[in-house]
Amino acid sequence: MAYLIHLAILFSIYAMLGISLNLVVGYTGLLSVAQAAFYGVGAYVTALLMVNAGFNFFLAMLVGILAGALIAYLMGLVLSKFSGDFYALASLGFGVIGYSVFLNWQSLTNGPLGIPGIPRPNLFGFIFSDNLSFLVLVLLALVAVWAVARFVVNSSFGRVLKAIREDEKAIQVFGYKTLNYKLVIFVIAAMIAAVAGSFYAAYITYIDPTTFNVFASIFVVAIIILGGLASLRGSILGAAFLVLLPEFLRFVGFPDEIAAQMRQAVYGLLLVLLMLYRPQGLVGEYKL
Amino acid sequence: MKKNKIIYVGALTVIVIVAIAIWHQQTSQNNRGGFTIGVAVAETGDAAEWGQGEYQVTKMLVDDFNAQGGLNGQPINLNVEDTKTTGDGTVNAIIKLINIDHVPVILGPTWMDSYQGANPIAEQAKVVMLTPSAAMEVVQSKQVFTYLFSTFWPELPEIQRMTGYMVTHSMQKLAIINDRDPYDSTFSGKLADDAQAKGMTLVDREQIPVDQNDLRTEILKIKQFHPDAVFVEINNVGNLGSFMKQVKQLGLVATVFTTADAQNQDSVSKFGSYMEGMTYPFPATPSSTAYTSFVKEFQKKYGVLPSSPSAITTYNAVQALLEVLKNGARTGTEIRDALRTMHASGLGTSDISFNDFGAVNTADFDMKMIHNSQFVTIPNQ
Repeated sequence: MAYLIHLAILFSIYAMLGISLNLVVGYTGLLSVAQAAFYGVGAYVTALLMVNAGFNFFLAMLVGILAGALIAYLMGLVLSKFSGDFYALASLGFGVIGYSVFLNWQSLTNGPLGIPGIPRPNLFGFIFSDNLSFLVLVLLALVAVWAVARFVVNSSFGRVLKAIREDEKAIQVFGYKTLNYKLVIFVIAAMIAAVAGSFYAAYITYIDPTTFNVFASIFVVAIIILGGLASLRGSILGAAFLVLLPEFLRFVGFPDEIAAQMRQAVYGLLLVLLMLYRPQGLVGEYKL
Repeated sequence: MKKNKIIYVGALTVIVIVAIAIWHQQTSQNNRGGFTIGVAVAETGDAAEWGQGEYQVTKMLVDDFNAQGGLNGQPINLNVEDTKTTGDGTVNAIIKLINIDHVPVILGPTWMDSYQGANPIAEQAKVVMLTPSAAMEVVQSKQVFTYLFSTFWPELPEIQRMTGYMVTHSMQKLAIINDRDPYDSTFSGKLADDAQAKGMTLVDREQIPVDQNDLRTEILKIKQFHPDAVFVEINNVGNLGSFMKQVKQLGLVATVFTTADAQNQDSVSKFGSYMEGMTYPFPATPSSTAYTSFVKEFQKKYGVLPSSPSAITTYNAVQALLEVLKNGARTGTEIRDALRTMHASGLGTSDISFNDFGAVNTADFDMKMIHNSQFVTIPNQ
């Protein structure tokens, strides 16, 4: 049971990340591969404030969200001027910068050695030290993130985002300042990713830069492509598939000598088959 | 909508099947009998060469032990999980071994110092983790864990052997290239400090991302300082060969040093003469009978020489674990307490014993070099 609870917590964190990125990639049509940087900002700010300044988790998370928003705003000012492949490349650059900062700003982040000993959340004296209570907390956060994202995509603002995705120039003709819309959704997505990062730091109680590298961003992109672009449910399903499937494959009885390699092959094969038969993802609205 | 329903029903079915599989595994685990050791090794990813070697050595020694009667007639079983050389993969493997398989001791994880997320989990669950491939100086730098142990060589004797050799051979100018892996960074930093304390000059230190394979820019930069010695420490052992090739192609003339990882048959097979002259410290006793018979047995079982850099330390870890199990330790706490006071003979050290931080106490090093694709002990050190 404890193992399943652990997997459910990881799934919830990645589902939040998936939802955050789907707002940018799925709904707005901007392929960003910088999401791990905001994930990392949330994790590092929360960890540093809790470990070094004794902040409460929720306050530290709030500061992490604001830090993520500020950094996303500054990045977004540049990124929003791009679209298509250029947007993806520029966001990749920012993702690399983020990872480099976590790795190289040793006096702050402790570099490759990471930050151990991050405390679990404490709410009015109740410490979420056991994983079941932590799961309840992270599920509540996931529901909140889902609600915010749903509100955003169903609003008139969300409809403009979809219009930008379909034809940015056409909507500009109608007087919409698309640059502002792209900037705002990028900031909102970064804030949600920072929430996921805060929960990750408090759950694992140890962070280091390897969790927030470009491969982590690509993993989140894979979640939303597999689950379905422009679909919040798709983000959840994609996270479930990509986080849980490799773990479930641990229970398939391959011989020890080749088990890991066989699991990887089966996992890869399933992904290929899925993309062949569901190119729009499990419940996606459109193809990238 | 109909398709969506099919997807949801499909997902639910998969979850039910998996729940049954987990239940089945737990039941068969309970019925298996004997004593179960968890093995968390990197079977895939960057550390796969280390992890696969760790698994092979463990399996070989445990099979031998079982063939000789096991633990009072009961076999030792291995439950193996892949850590995937990632933080999440390591945590998932450890949690599975602790909560599904209920093992009291885990051999591993590979590179515990690079992937530390599972350490507090094992500590809290009172499960011993005995890794053959992590520097406890890194693991215990900020927190103290009492259930974690490592048979990986302690850093300081290895560093001092190397810097001592450099000074004895009148090497004055040292350059360092290391990647930003926690172990590699810490080791290289300590080597720089020790060399400078011995009067050497650190002319340059290049720190590169993990897995950077093209080091030409760094080599050219170092070359302009005309160093006598270049120390390279990168966690992907396979990249050592390409580094040496680039050193020779770019005409950097200096003695190239690295850690005991250099004794890697795979690199020598792939890069041949490019590896010539690479110099490294290596535990002093592997020329002993025990080491020779270990190598022979490994070759007989797997058809190749043990090439994993942690093959010997895995041998020591398994011997230590079997020793405390033979003496009756069974729970995590009993195994921890027994490891703290145990002494056994091992490879590369005449005495496997652990200090308060769970690190193996000492190792004696010889200086070796690669010459004519052979690993030879340097005479008159």
